[in-house]
Amino acid sequence: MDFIYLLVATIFSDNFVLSKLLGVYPVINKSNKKISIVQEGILVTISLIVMSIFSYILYTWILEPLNISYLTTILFSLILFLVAQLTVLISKKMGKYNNVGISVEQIVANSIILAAVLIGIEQEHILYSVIYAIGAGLGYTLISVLISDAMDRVDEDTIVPAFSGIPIRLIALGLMAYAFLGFNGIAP
Amino acid sequence: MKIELKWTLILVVLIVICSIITGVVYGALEDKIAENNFETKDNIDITSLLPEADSLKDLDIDIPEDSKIRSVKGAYSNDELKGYLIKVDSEGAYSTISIAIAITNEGKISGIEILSQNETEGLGDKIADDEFTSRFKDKTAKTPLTLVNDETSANDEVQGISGATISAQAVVDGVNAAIEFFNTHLEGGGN
Amino acid sequence: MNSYNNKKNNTALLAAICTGFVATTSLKTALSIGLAASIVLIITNLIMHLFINKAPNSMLMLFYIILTAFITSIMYLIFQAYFPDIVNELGIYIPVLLFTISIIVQIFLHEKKYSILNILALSIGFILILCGIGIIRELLGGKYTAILEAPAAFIITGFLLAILSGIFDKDKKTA
Repeated sequence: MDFIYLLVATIFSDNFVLSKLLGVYPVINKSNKKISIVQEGILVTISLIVMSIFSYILYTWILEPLNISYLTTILFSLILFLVAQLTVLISKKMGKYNNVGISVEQIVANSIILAAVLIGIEQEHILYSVIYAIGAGLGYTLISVLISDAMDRVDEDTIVPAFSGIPIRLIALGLMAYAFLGFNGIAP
Repeated sequence: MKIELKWTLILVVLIVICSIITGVVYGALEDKIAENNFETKDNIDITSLLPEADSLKDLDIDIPEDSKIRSVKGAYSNDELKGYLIKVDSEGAYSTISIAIAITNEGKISGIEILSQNETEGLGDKIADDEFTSRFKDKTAKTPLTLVNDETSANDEVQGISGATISAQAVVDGVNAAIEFFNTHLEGGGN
Repeated sequence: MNSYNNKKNNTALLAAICTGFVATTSLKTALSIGLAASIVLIITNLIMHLFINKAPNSMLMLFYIILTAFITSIMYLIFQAYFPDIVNELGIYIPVLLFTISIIVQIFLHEKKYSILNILALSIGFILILCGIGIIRELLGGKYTAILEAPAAFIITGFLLAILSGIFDKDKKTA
């Protein structure tokens, strides 16, 4: 029950993009092609899961007992780079995601991953950490899809030029975020 | 291939150097960071809440199971009991709010502090600000406090925060639980 | 700044600002994160000059990541020691923001030159806009609590960017 609640909360009421304001740029700086957005979301989620497992083990079994938790950022960034490399490699090997063209840098520069992992390592159990990572990844994918859908309905030619591109996407994201505040009521 | 190997070695050396420097900086700042102690704010500085006291001691008191009270400690100054530090957990809008309440021997709230909370950013989390917590200062710990919207007119009233009624009410509930515990279990010298 | 680099710089600046949203609840947090992120950027890019033209191109990014993480850890320790109230407010977001901003700027500049002058100009713009959002949210937040909620950051920035691009970028087509 706890797990389900945590998952729903991280996807909706505690969404990383809308309520924690992380990973905003990757969300709004995308083409409107749904299939590649979903694929990218899946790859980010996979990186998140792998990353959360590695980092949880590293932190609770090595960093904390040895009292060297000040190295967390350096070591996690290294793992992040390796995991990103691995994810890109796997996606290329599978062949299916070739057209996504997600790069290692794009995964490293997604602030959601580092944030979710840093929050995840403070959970009591590794499962919570993984669930948290899954929720964060799915929430990110959901918002990416929703915002691209909203942008499909905006005719870029009819709006004031100054608003076209990033500003209109940010405003759409803001309105969506206010709507998502309604999910807060789910909390017990 | 050779050049790659060479730079991989350099990379490893760089990581080691960076880690050592971070360690040195941490060593230099460790005391200062420990002073600020975050997260585990459980070891709070009693002097900030109850200026007359300088140390805390555990009391031999049974805490009712179903109450909000989490722990009760006596606040002493040179073995002389000056008051009590009561920690309570109260359910807020979205999270459990832990509050430390200091009540003097004379039955006055000398200060409260929000130890942890996870209320809505910018609204509910205002309960942790001094502006709100200082409103509990010098209230009499006899009768339960009530939350009011406007300026307070009576001693048993506390002004709330607009937009954060549930969170503020949770703090008042927590403080009231401490007041009740003080009146039923502690008043008149406690142990 | 010459016009050749302008577009890249603007994209990098935008990416950095969007990453820094978390810190814009008040002027104080916005300013401190803006300054700290700029320091991380500048020092990292300075050190990168040691490796430029020597290390293999494919490894430059890894060096950059390690150095950024290193400076970020140092900054976070400094924050923990001397600015406890900001740590209480932002917590683990401090290292996340500093790290991501530095990386994201480098990605969108998309050059392996690590020009300090460029970074300096970008940092100034970054601090100014972040503080701008912080001031607006702090001032309006006093009157309307909805402004302090997370979503307001998006909308305020959206309008702010639209106004800025309306003034400075007359022939704008796409962002």
